[in-house]
Amino acid sequence: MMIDIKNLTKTYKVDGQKINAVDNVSFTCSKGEYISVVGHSGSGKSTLLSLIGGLTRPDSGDIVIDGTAIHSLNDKALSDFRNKKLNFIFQFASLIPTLTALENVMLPTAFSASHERTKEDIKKEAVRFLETVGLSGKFNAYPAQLSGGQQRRVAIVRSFINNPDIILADEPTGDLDEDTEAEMIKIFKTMNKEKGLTFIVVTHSSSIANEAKRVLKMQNGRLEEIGQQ
Amino acid sequence: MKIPYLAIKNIRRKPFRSIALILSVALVSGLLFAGAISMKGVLTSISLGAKRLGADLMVVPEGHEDKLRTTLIAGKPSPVYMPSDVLGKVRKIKGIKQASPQLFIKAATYSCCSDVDAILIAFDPSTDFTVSPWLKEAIGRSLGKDEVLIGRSIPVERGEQMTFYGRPLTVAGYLSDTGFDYIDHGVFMTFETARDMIRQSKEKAAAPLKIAEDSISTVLVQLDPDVSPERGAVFVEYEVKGVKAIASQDVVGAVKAQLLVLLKIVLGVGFALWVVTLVLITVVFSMIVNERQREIGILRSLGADKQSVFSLITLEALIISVIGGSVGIGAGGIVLYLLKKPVMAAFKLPYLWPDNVFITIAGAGTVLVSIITGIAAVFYPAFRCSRMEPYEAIRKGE
Repeated sequence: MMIDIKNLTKTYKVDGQKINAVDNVSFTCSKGEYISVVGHSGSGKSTLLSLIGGLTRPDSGDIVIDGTAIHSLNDKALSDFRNKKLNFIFQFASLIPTLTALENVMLPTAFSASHERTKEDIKKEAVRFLETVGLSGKFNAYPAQLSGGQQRRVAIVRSFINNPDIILADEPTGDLDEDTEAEMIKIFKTMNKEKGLTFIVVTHSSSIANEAKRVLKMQNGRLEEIGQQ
Repeated sequence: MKIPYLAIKNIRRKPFRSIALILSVALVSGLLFAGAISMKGVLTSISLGAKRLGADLMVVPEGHEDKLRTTLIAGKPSPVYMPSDVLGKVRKIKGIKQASPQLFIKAATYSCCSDVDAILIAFDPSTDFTVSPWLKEAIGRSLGKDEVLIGRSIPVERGEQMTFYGRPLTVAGYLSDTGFDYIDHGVFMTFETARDMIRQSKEKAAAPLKIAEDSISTVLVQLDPDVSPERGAVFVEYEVKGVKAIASQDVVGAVKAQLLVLLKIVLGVGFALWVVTLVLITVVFSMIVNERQREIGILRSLGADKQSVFSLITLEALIISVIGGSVGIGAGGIVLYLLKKPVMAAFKLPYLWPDNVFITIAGAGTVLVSIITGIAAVFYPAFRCSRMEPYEAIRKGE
């Protein structure tokens, strides 16, 4: 068992009113699974993903990943955990505008506490990743010089650079055309099958949801399993 | 790729904003550095001057004491005269250790390669204790007839001749740089040479000198150790009629009072600018942090911890501060070098460049103040953004 979530709750106060963004959610996810989380806007999907990724702390409940209760970790340990174990793909262009495509891909290694790879090895790997997604001639291009689809591809390969076990994707194809979306799904599937990466993908897109082995639905902060292939 | 690289890239992102911040830091550090160097220069000059002048009292004709007090420090000594028998009377007073006369001859312009102001002064080498200590190299004999010692601002080499009032004078030695116009522009000669020059000027000079044969301008006095300058001055003024005795401490005190005014102005302007810069950097970095909330959230999602985010923002301020501080030191030094003379002349202050050790310490201190300013200004915005939850940062930045 890789991810074990028990009785997870997160509430927000909006205009003095308490909102249960994530309400007593429990589920497990095995290594190498590909899970989709669907639901309406505001149903709590993104909050759930950020809780799993340790980007925000729950009010109650536990998240245990590979035996580590992540919210019991201090900031340094949690950041290191994020850096090594999981990575995010956001619904917006998440590249750093001052860095080139290649530098953006290499960025997570800047925060790695231990350096098992040399700078040259990291660079070679980043180049290889960019070539894999068809960005051979764009290594030194800045985000502003790339199309939306190209930026998204850079963000995807950035999420792989530290060889994480889990990818948390939040509406990764939200503003992309169908071809680019198909291309991204292909990359996800390949990484899931070949590298055994675990994917939890929050999406509105039925085509992405249908690619998943398990589909979970969020509604008013509560989670239910609606499909399994 | 490391955090300093990210910081440099961020600084280069908005060049105009970064340059404006660098210039504001440079303005404060330049003022601080130039202020420190100029204050030290004046203080060095005064203390060295007072120490080497060696005179506890300066006896001058009554009614001219105020003029002589300030002109001795920063200007040309006024050609005022009193009978030479004052010297004998002063020497007889109890508590007087040494007394040596000087005669201030009308200032002249010496033309060689360029026009140089020269102050002609007669002194008595046998009793002198104020000019000889400034000698750069001992001349190994007593100063002969028609020989002179010159200050560092007169560009003439030893052995060369200078002509004043139709009389050629040979440079026998030159004095160290003092910062006092009175000595740096001084042409010191014996009384014998001076009297001959005065006599001969009636025939050889277009504007002859009209100075009585037995006159002197001042008597410089060194007191016994157990006599205070104030008491010594009272003794002199009581025993010798028609003279005033200026204590050298008064001269230094007068300069220090002027210096205090200058120091207050520099410190006041410097403090105001420092506060403005501090507020400016805080405001700009608060804006930067707000602008970059999503980016900071992304960095956190990629594994940057709070300390890394804090370091990134602080490092940006640190780089800007160090560059600003260094630019300020360079610019301050250049401005000081260019404006030193007119400013010091306006305030009637002497000036000597401080030694390299002080300049290095002042430079390092200025950079340190710049760094502290940068870090203090950015501390709150950096702390605030490092404490932000990554998810909150990403959402707020959307």
